[in-house]
Amino acid sequence: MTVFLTAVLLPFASLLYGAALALRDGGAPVWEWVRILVVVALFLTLIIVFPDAAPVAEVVAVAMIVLFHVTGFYAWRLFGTGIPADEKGDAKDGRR
Amino acid sequence: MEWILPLERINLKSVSSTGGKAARLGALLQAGFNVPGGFLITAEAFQLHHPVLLEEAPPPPVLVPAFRTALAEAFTRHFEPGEAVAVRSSAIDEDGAGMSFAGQHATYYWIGADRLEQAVMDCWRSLWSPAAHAYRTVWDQSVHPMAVVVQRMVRATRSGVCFSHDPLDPVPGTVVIESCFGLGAALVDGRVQPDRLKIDERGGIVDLQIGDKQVMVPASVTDASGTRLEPVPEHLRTTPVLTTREAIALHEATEQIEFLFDEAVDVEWAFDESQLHILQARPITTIAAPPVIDRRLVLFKPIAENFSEPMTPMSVDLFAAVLPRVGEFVRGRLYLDFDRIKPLLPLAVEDAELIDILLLRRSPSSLRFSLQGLLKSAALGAAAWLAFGTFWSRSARVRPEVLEIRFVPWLERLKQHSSLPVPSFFKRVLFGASPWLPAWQLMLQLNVSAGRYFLLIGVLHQLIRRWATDFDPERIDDLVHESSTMWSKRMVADVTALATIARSHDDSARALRSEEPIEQVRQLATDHPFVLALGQFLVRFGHRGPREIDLATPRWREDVTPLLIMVRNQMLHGSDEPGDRYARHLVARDLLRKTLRSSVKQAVVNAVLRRIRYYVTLREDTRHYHTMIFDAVRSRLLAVEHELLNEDKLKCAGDIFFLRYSEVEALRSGHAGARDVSALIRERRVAHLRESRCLPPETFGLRVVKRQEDRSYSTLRGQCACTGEVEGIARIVLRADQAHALKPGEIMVAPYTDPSWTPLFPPLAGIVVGIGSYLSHAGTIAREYRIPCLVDVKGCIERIPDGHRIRLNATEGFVELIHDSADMELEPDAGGEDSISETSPVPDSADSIEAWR
Repeated sequence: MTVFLTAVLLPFASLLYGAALALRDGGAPVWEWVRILVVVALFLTLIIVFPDAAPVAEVVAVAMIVLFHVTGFYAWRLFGTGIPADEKGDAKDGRR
Repeated sequence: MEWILPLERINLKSVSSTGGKAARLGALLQAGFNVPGGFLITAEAFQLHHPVLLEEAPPPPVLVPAFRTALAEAFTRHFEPGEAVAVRSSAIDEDGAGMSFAGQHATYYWIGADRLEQAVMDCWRSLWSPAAHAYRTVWDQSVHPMAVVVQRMVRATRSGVCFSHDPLDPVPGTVVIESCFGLGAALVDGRVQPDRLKIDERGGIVDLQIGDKQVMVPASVTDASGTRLEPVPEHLRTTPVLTTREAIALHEATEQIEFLFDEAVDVEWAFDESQLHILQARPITTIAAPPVIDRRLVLFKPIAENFSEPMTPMSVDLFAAVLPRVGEFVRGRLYLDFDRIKPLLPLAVEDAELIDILLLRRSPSSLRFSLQGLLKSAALGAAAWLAFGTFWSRSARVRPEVLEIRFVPWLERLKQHSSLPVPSFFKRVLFGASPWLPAWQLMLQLNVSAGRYFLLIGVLHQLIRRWATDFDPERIDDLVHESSTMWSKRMVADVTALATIARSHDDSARALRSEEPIEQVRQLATDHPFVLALGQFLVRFGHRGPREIDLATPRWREDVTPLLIMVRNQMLHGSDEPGDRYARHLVARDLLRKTLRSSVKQAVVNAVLRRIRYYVTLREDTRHYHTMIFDAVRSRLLAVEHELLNEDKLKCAGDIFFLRYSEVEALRSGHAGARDVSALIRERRVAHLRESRCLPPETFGLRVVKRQEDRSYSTLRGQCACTGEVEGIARIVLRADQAHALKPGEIMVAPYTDPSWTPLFPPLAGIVVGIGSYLSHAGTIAREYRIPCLVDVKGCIERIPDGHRIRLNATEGFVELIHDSADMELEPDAGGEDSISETSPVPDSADSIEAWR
């Protein structure tokens, strides 16, 4: 059940994570808050309906999305473009 | 033993003591050609001062008194007092049939009697220059003695090179003439884009490419060691160098020289005010061979369609470091590795079809997916979704105004404060350094992901085909109406506004109409409304310019000429009618609403249309910001170049773009010097110019199936980028800043377009582009202005005569020459669909090259 729920929740976790980053990126409309609230409501409902499986499945789904996002970025950088992982730059956001 | 010989006494038999160059000059003089007179310092004189020849450079010799006396006497005998001469190497192994040593040894211009001895010793010494040493090493040669030619200087107003056979085409019979203003040094060093003429064996001009001759070495230069390059007056830059009569005379002379030496030759020539002078003739040593590529490659269209010229070595070096490993650069153009791409695509297609897909010639609705391929790539797709799905969804939420508000200040801060080396800076701003960065800092990824509108347009076509059968498919393009805040639209609006301001003031209108608009605009007061508006425009769009993908190209902020020419065109011919286009959009939307009837269907179609509009805008806007990144990288490179020029490690502005970054670092750190890179730069500049004249091959190691429809000579096929049908006058425009003759209502025929061409579009009746795809810039902007547009029309530049009437059918995908004029009639081409017919009209009159053009 936990595995099944994790697979089902992956797109929702992606939606949640994407909306959160979009809000952080700036300029996102109120819609992003609505998306987040809907997904959070779904997650809470699942915890009530499946108290044993849902909490673990939700955490794993979100963690998988974040992990793949991070590893995907570095994999692309390293294998896709050949930029060494340690070449990060000296001035994040242009401030020293 | 003779140290000095008059040139008239030399012939081909004396080559062992005079060198190939001098021997041929003597033979030419004896045959009656107009060769500047002078004398030769023989190899014996060299051996007198260098009795032992080693690979290492010897210390400078002390000239023997008897030789000094003989040299002074020869100068007095051959030249007037105070006359300047050219001192030129003629090494014994130079200008042979196997090796030319072209540019490896020294030549000095405008040398007076007082500097003659030093110039002769410097010429001898160039035998041990790093460039000559490297050349000998490659050809496994030892050091040979050197003779030196001392010749009268020609006050060349025009000069160049003439090949008795086209070096790029092994088939004999065509003479190629390259010409520039002033002395030929700028041409042979590859610093100027020359005019290029081809004359067939019957004496007819079969091809003429007018170069943008930005610089020249003036005939009046007196200091060979100083900065010799001067800008060519603006009105001459794109004016043909030679008249037809002069070109034919040169052709005849070259054929006679080829007959004299009984081999293919390249001839250096110069015209003073009236006379043709032959400066050099040597065997053509290289017939260009295609590069040996052992992989199967397909041209990467999204870059090629914006920029058909090759990138300069610095651009290639920097881009190659950041682009995915599924491709590689060949002679300055990016290609995809067919065998790496193929397994990644779940398509049930043959190789030929896949080539068409990669060349963006097939619409998504015609693709067939393979079940096996889909299953095989399902896992890959799932992993890709997990890895990139987040960015995919984030890029669907980026608002254009956020890009403007946040990206621009961020890039400015980074430009000012970053201490990263240029390549790292480039990677940093293009790819970001962390997955947590805001989406607006990942501009390249945004641009790529915005390309999904192509799929959505396929969806839109399907929906309308199923739900609105009565809706005219030709109106679908009218439904897509991009945001009015899109940067390309703003740029057109601003150019139009500039033209309106210029038109409303007599002095600015007069300045723009003049032959030297830059000089005239500079004369305007600093608070003149046009000058103020121009300044504001450059603040917003100064980082844009022609061929802006290549880092070597000056931006509008640096060279405002192309922009002023666009403003002038708009001022003289502009007739933008945005109202009509918006009205068409409203009519199409209304018709669709009536045809769809169901509110649910309407909502679905409207949602798809909104998304298309969003992604089209995002894609165009991210292009605008990309160019800011390229501009920032260019500024950094120019700062490095300035430093190297001040240290005399580089000779000329722009040289840095013909080096790799590692070579620049070697120069900065002192591990390499000016001598180490000068020959390299010259060689790369010449190669770049040569490549610029050729359209890139679409594939390597793969056979492209020719379309049957191409076989008709008067009809050319292409891809429909914006549907519609129109008939009108074809106007060939090779570069955005050469669009002087373009008039409203004409059909523009161009080799490619990039965003800097946008202001040319509004008044046009139609557009035909030699390269490109539905997604290309030309297609996007044409749809926005609802101008019939056909892209990927092979041979359009060569086969559509300028000023000819054509019928453009961008609905069925062809352009047709209308034979209503006897003097422009074209014959069917028996030689194959891609060859150029020799029957293009050839002028007879002396000054008609411009007219023929």
